Amino acid sequence: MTPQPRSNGEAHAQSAALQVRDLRVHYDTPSGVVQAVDSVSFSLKAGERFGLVGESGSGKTTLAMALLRMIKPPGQIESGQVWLGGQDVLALSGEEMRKLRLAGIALVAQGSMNSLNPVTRIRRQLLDGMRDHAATGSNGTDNGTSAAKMSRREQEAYVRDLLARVGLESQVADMYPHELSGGMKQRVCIAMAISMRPQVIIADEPTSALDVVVQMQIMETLRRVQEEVGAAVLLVGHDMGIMAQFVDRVGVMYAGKLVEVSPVREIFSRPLHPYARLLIECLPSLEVKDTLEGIPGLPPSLLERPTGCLFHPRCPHATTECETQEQMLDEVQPERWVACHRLEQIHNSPPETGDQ
Amino acid sequence: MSALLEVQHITKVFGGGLFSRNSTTALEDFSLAIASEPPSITAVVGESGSGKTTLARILLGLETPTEGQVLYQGKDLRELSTAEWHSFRRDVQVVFQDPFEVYNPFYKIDHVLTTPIAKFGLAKSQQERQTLIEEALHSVGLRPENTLGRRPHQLSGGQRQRIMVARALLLRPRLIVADEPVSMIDASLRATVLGNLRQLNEEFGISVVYITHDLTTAYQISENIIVMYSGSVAEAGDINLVVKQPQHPYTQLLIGSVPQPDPDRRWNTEAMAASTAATGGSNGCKFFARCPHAMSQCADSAPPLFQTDAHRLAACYLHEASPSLPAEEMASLFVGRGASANALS
Repeated sequence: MTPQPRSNGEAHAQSAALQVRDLRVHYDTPSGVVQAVDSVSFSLKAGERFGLVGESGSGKTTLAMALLRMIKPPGQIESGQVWLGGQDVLALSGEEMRKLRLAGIALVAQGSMNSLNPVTRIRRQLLDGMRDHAATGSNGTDNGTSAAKMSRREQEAYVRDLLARVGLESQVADMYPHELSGGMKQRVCIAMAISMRPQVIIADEPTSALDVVVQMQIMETLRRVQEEVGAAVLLVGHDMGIMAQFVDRVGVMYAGKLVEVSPVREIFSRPLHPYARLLIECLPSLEVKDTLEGIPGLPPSLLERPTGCLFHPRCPHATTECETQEQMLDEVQPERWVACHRLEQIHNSPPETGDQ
Repeated sequence: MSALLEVQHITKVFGGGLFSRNSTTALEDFSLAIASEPPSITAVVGESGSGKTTLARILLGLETPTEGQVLYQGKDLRELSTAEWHSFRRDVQVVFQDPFEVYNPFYKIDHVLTTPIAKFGLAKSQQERQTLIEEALHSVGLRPENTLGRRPHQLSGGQRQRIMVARALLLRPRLIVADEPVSMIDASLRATVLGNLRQLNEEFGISVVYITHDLTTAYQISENIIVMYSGSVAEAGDINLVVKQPQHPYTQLLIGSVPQPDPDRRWNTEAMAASTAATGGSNGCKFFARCPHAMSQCADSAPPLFQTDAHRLAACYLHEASPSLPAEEMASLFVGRGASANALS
C-alpha cells in the first residue's frame, strides 16, 4: 500500500517511519553560501529513538527543520529526499505540508515552553493544533482526532486524556502558561506534539533550559508517550548524557555531515570516528576526576569548509589523504556507519582508554 | 579567622512591598565564609529558584540582603570607604552565565580587556597594557593574534567565556564568583573553560565560588560543595563525600537524575514519583512535600545542620543523632585542596 522510495531498496525500508536521502540544505548569505546540511542520509524505524548530536553550528537544527520543511530564506533545501512513511515530504504542496505537520511529523522545539501563547488557556492551545491540522489525515494514520468533528464533551475527554498521558492534572487545561512551571509547560508541548499521534516526533533540545530532575522527568515522559503512541523520535542535542539515557541509535554530525551512525551501546563503549571518540571522552563524569580537556580547535566555519575530511584540521590521526580526499559514510561493521579514512589504522592499535 | 568574604545569616526577600502580598524568599538565614588562605573552589549547586544566583549577586555586592551582613575582610560592605570599595571591586571578580549578552556588539572584544586596565590603572604604557592582555589570554589558552581585534559575534561561546575569565584574571583578584559559566556553551567546550578556572585556582591562588546546577562539572573542579534547596542549605561539605554518599534526600534525588553517559547505567527513575509533587509551603523542612522519607516532625520545624561526618553537614532529621552545628561555622568543616580524597574511607 505504501509506495516505496524510488532509490535504493534498503532492507528495513518498509518499517522505516522516516527516510532521508542525500539531503542538502544551504543558506545564501552575503558572505557566501553556507552548506549547513551536506548529503545527509539516515532512516528512523517505526518507534525508534534516534539521537542527532553535534556542536553548535554543526547543522543539526537545520536538518531537523528541513525535515519539517520549515527552512526559511535565505535557507533553502537544495536537493535530496525525505520520505515520511510513504509520502515524499519535499514534493508536497505548501498546504499539504501544513496539514502533515503535527499530524504526521510533530516538533517539540528548543525552549518550546516559551512558544505557548501567553493569553490563551492550555485547553484551547491543545485543541487549536488539532483543529487546524486535521481534515486530510496523513496516510492511513487517520485516528479520528479531528477536533472539528468532536463534540464538546469528546473534546474535554480528549484534553483530559492528553494531559494525563504527560502526567498533568486536568485542571491544567484551564490555566494560562504563566501559571505553570517550565517543566509543566514542556509537558504541555509534548502533549501537543502527540495530540494527533504522529509517526515522527522531532525533539530539538527539549530540556536544555531545565534542571536535571525536571529534565529526567521530561525525557521519561517523552519516552513513555512515544512508546504508547508508537512514534519514532528524532532527538537533537549536544548532551551525550541524555543521548545515552534516551536513544537507541546515535548519529554524530560534524560541519553539516554525518560522520558516524551507530547503536547507542556500541558508540559509547567504542566510538569509531575520531570526532565521536573525542566528543565522548571530553564528557565530565561523576565517577572519577580527570583532566579537563575539550576537543582541540574549533568547528570549521561553514563558509570556508576544509577540503577532504572536514574534521582533519582537528583530528589527531589526520594524514595527507584526509586533507584531500572526502570520505563517505560507510557501513564498516553491521549497523555501524562511519566516515573515516584511517579507521583501520586507528582501531588496530590498542585503544588508549576504555569505555567510561 | 580572616575570611576574605563572608555572609552572615543573610535573608533576601523579593517583592512583598506595600501593595503586594506576594513575596519570595530567595535566601533564608544563609551563612558562608570564603577564607583568604588557602585558595579553594566551592561549588554552590541547586535547581532554578534555589537562590544560588541571588547568593552570587549578594557576594558581588550587586544586591543587598534584607537581613544579615556581608563582610569583606571583616568589614560590612555598606560601611566600606571609597578606597576599600575600590579594592573590593578588584579582589572579587565575576564570570556571568551568558557569554553572549555581556559583550557590547559594537565594540571589539579588546574593549572588555582594556577597560579594567584603565579603570584600575594597571598599566603605565600601551606596551605594558598589551603585554598584560596577551599574558591573560595565554593563561586561558587563547592566542592573542586570533582573538584581539575581533568582534564578539566572530567568536564561539566558549572563546567568549574564556575571555571573561581572562578579564577577571587581569585584575589578579582573590575571588572569582562564577555563576553558571558553562551552562550556555557546548558540552565539548565546557571542559576547557572549567579547566581554566581550576588552573587559575592552582596557579594564581584565586578562590572560586562555582555556582551551577550541574553536579558533574561541580564534582570535577571543586573540593567543597553546598547543595541548596529553596534558599537553604540541604547538604554541604567535602564534595567526594556528598557525591559518592549523599545523605540528604534532595541530594540523592539530584544525583540520581544526572544523565550518565553510559546506556547501561540508567538514571534513577524511582525518584520520579516523589518528585512530581508540587512544593509545599510550611514552617518545616522545605523539601517535605517531595521527600520520600518525610516524617511528622519534618512538617513542624525546619531541620538544623547536622554534622554527620568530619567534613559534611546535612539538614535532615534522618541524621538527628549527629550533633547540630550553627550555620555560620559551616565553612570550618570544609576540606583544603588535595585533602579531600583522604576523607572518603
